[in-house]
Amino acid sequence: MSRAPQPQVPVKAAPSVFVVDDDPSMREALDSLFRSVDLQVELFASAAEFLQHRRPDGASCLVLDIRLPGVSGLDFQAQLQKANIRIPIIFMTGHGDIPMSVRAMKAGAVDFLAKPFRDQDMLDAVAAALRRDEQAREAEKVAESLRASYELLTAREREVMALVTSGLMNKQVAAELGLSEITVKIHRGHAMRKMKARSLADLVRMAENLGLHPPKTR
Amino acid sequence: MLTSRLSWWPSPFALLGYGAAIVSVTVALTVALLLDAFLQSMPYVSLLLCSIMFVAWFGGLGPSLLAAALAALYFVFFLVDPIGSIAIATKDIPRVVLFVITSLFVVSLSAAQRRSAESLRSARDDLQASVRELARVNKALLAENVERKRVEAYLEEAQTLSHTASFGWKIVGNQVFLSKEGYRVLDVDRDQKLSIGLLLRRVHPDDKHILQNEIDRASRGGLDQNYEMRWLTSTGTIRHLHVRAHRMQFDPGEDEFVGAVMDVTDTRNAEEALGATQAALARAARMATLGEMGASIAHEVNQPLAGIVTNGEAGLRWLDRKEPELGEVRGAMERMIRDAKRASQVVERLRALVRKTPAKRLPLDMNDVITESIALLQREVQTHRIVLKTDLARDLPLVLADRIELQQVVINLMVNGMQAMESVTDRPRLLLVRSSADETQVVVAVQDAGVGLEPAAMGRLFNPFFTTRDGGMGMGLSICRSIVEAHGGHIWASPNEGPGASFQFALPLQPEAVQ
Repeated sequence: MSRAPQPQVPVKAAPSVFVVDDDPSMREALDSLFRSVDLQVELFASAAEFLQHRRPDGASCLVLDIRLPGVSGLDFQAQLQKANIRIPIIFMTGHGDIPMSVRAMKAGAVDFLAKPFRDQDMLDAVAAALRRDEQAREAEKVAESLRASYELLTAREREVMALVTSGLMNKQVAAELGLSEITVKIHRGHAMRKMKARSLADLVRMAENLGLHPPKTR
Repeated sequence: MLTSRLSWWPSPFALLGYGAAIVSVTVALTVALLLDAFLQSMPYVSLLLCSIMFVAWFGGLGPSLLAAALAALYFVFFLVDPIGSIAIATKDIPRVVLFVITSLFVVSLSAAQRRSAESLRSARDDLQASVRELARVNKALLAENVERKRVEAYLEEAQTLSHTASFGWKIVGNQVFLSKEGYRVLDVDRDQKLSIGLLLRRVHPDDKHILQNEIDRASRGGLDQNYEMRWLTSTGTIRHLHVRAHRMQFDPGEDEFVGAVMDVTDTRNAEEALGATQAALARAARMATLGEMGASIAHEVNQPLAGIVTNGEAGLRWLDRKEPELGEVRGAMERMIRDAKRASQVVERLRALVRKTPAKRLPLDMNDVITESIALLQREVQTHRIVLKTDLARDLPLVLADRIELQQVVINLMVNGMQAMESVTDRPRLLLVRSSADETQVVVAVQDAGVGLEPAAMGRLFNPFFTTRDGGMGMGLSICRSIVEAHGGHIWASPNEGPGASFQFALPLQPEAVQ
């Protein structure tokens, strides 16, 4: 099955797993394990090494030892969040690191596994993490195109969109902005077309997604 | 003195003699004249001679000569014709001459007699003086004898109490002398003849070479002896004897070794017991240290085990693929073997720390000891967020030391430093381990940036059961000190110029104890 035709889905980067562990034997073992199920693996001995590495576009996740030289796994998790690098993290913990694991989970880790772990548990956790990243990337893509569409709106259209999606009638919007109802309707139509919204409900969901709030004029 | 100074003036006694000469001769003449007048006898010559003899006896030669002259004068004046004049008739000359000769003879006889009497007297005086001197000397000797007996008694008592004997050994002639205590210390019968041969038979077989070596050295002209050997009593128990002696010469050409033999068995036994106790304590402290390193140890063992499990599982997955990737399986298995070896090394290292083996002194590079200690504490360093730095001197000279014990000292000092920085949050928790050396010693220093030392605590830091930590046993530093001192070194603490403290220990390159 080696040279089978490529799947017809648009070329999508293969999912990668990043392993950060200062212990070389653990790194190599994980490398072998992930490759045996055809996952791409990148190995790093420290958090700094990982940060220097450019991440590919495809879905990815981070398998992180909770104790690292220099900066701890938990601190690294916080650093990534601060730098707005969103990547699902699976923590590996050693002996007696339960309190740290709890903190890791609270800070949004996908899972934590105590060494030595079962290979299936690790692979399941990685699969879940990759799925989560995939979804996040999809959502990000949608939000991205919405933001692009929203960029096309004029200032007036944005005002109208914000007020309409907050639940006001055309008449109320007209009064609010000091326009005629007709003008409001025209702006609303332009906005819906530019945003590719099929219905008002559609537009409301988009506004939510974009985090729009009605302008506070009073 | 006075007489000698005024020798030209006759002494009063001499004057008395001359006076007596005049008086006695005059009295003799008067008596003779009276006897002549009343009794018609004529005892002139005999009485005058008597008076001369008296004067010679009483006054000596001078007065007796005066008496003789006076008597001759009286004789001529009163008895020789013409009487009443000093003229002498020719017919009487022989009488006068005879009288003079007789009187002079009497004088000389008396003088001789007197001289012998005097020399007899002076001899008697001398004799008396020597007798007095002898009596004085005798008294002094008696006193000295009493004193010497007391000193001897003291010495013997002191020898008994201190299990110390004195001995002498004449090299030529092979004669050995022992004090009373010596027979007890060596456990030899008093009537046994002492000789080097006997000593060599009774020394512990393993120490025979020590004694033989000392004897050879002495025969070759060695000056001082100072050595220890084990000795077998008649019942076969072992005694430790310490011998100190030096060469002396009482008689020309006869060199002698004079010295002391101390029975130091009790001391050695106590030292051995102390050593065993210290070893047990040190081991307990190592266990305690291990307890404090618990998390590190679990991690050290767990890490390779996790590697083995994951590699094994990955290997199985490679095998289970439709087309098994044997190369990958091989790689996984090789890593499993490597990790298993690593795990067993960790266990071996830990076992060595708690193993109950007597201390083994071998040439040792302290840098190796430091590196191994750091390896054992790797995790501890990370958990405590320690920035560990080392500054190790290159080509460190070797010291004769026990690896495990010194590893324990370094670990203890490092753990101490880390604990001292537990509360530090405003600066890096820097732990610096340094090694250095000069001609005489190797120095290892562990410097922390922790809370530092209170001046009041400085003096007691290394005392047992002294601790500034809650839950601390206070044994760590005291164990460190006993280990370092057992190696002939010393350990000390000092505050840093900045925050924190430094603990250092120095080990001599040439331990004195080893001969």
